[in-house]
Amino acid sequence: MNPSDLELVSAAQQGSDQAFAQLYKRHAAGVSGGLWRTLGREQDVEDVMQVTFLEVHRCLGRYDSRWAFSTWVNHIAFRMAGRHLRAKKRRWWWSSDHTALSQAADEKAGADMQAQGGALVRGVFTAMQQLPDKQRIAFTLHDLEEMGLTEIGKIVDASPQTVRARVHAARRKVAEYLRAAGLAEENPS
Amino acid sequence: MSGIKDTDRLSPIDDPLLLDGVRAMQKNVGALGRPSLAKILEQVEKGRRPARRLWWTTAALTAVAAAAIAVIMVRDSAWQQPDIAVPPPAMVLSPTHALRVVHYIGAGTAGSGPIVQTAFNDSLTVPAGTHAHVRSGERLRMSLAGPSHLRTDADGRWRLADGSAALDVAQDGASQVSLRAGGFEIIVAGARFTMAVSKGELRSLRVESGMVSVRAADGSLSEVVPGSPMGDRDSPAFTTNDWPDQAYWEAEELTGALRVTSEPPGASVTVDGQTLGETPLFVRWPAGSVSLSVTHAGYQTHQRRLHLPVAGEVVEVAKLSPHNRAKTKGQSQDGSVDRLWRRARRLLLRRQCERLDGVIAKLRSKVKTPNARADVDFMSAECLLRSGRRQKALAAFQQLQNRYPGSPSARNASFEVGILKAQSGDSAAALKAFSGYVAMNPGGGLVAEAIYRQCEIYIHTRDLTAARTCLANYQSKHPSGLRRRDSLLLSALLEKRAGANRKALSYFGRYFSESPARGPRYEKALFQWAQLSCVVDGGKENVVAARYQREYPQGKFSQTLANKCGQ
Repeated sequence: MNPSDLELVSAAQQGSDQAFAQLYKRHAAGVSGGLWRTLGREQDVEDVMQVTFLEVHRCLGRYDSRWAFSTWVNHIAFRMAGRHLRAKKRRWWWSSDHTALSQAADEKAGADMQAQGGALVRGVFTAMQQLPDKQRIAFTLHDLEEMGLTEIGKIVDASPQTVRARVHAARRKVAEYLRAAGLAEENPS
Repeated sequence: MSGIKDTDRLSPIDDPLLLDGVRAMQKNVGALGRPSLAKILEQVEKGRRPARRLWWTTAALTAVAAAAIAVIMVRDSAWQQPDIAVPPPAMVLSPTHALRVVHYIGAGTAGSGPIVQTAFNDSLTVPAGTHAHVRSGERLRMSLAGPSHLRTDADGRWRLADGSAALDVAQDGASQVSLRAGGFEIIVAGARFTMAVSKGELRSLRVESGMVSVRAADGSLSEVVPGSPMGDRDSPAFTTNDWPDQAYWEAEELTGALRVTSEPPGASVTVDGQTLGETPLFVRWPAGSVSLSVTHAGYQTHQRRLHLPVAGEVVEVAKLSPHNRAKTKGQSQDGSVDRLWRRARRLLLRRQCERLDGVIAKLRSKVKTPNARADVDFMSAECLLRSGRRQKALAAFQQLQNRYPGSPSARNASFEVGILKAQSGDSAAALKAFSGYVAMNPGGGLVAEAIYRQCEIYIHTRDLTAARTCLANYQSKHPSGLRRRDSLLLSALLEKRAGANRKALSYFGRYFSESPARGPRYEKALFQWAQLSCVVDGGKENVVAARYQREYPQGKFSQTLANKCGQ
């Protein structure tokens, strides 16, 4: 019989690495999917995943059982993703050759994406890159991960109404970008 | 929020292209970027986090760089306060009715009580630090130059984000204040809330008590309650693409129209203790019970308590009786005079001027005072005008002016002379007549119309400088005048012609924020606005051009606009 998340958390709180390993196996795939679509780079996802589960391990004692464990982990993951993106922007700003670095990062991300899903995926990803972080995360969780507004609200510390507004804005901007990029002609639906 | 109550998700994506993209992204799942568990546990063992170390490194570098820059700036004295006098932001309140400022804290004066009270149709520039009080039922219009933040604080005061000005808006549980702007509407019922508005977008809305409903442009209604804020800095709760440069707020019009005429005309009208002008008079006034008083020298005061419905109109005809009625003999004479006045009025309304002449001849023999005789002549001239005999009417009005100068009827006659002269193409005489009317009737009910007519004459005579000045004068003195929309459009066109594109854009924005009626003129004005906006703000993704294309997809200017804006 599979132990519940709560039982595993209790065991992990008492120092069981096995229980923590099980939690990791159970939730890593879900978290990495969302992060992958938000960040787009394998290296970034790996960095954030690592920091996220370190944080999860460190904060297990503060876990509130009123939250679903997956929601709590996602909450930490996307906080870390936001921090990662901000740090990345800082690094970009401090670097001497902004353009070259930025282009290299975009090309790398675009290549990863194109290898996985073609021009449309790359278009959506590029459009998402241009969104403010909060809108990008809301769009990813709602439209790509198909989470509910309330759960996303818990993850990103915002009300469902705010999430709704962010998703709306993101949808509009992504659709505008796809049209401007001429993908409407390439993908007549 | 109605949408949220029904479902925890937004409506499905209806854009096929976006839907395809999202589906393709959803298929794009992989076991990518998943670090090995061993690696995480190894980090746990080490008890350190590389990202945190990186953060500290970056923070330290940032601090060192900032310190270095500060040292260089201080050494070179490059960091000085700019020596520019920044004018305090002023808020222009243009109420339909009296706006009472109950607290005035500014220019070294502090206190309470009604310090400033605007006259009807007047506008009030409130200096920074002024607190204004608007009663329930009064209409408040705020024009905030540039992208502004406006919010209510915990005391329920409206406040600019920088704290420079505030307004107290009295709200009680029963009253509803509805604020409209562009694409969304906020409905408040005794709620305290904070909102940030920037660049035509409702950025955020946080409710402290009560409930605020927001109706979006698509008609969907959202309810915001305490502890559940809407929107934030990055994600506007609502976008109103069609906002002009000036953020523009207008409370729901809780007013009714009151039209007062009297026999004889020229009587002073007082509503709720405020003298508004002379009959004939047309005013907008807070709906509800109003106390009306019509007074005329030598006549008994006419007093009524009226109910003014919201957006309705009440017409009150005050038939004034003379004070000094003779007790016996005179009484019957005055009674017959009253009857003659009533009969004359009926004939005038029916335009039966020949029969009216007979009644007027009798009246002339009975009335003694110059003002009353002037009223009789005015009625005769008015009948000629109404029956289309303009030349005769003009001669009659001019004769009246010469015979009874200074009488109320002579003053009103100068307005009619202005209209007739303008129609006959004698612009100089029309301007003179309108100026004379405005000078003689500073509080008259037709002053705003007279000024507007003057502006039109300036435009016809191609004196565009005078026309611009005249329109600006009209808009500042009569911001709620019946011709305000027309005046804004004329100003926009004049400024455009003069090359003042920014000003023209601002006027266009104000014109369209007045919700003008749809029609050929509306379409043409929207096209001109969009065309100018493309020139000034660039054609790509131009919101005004997009608005035209949205409202008139098959419009006659659609192709021209698409070519001009490069869309």
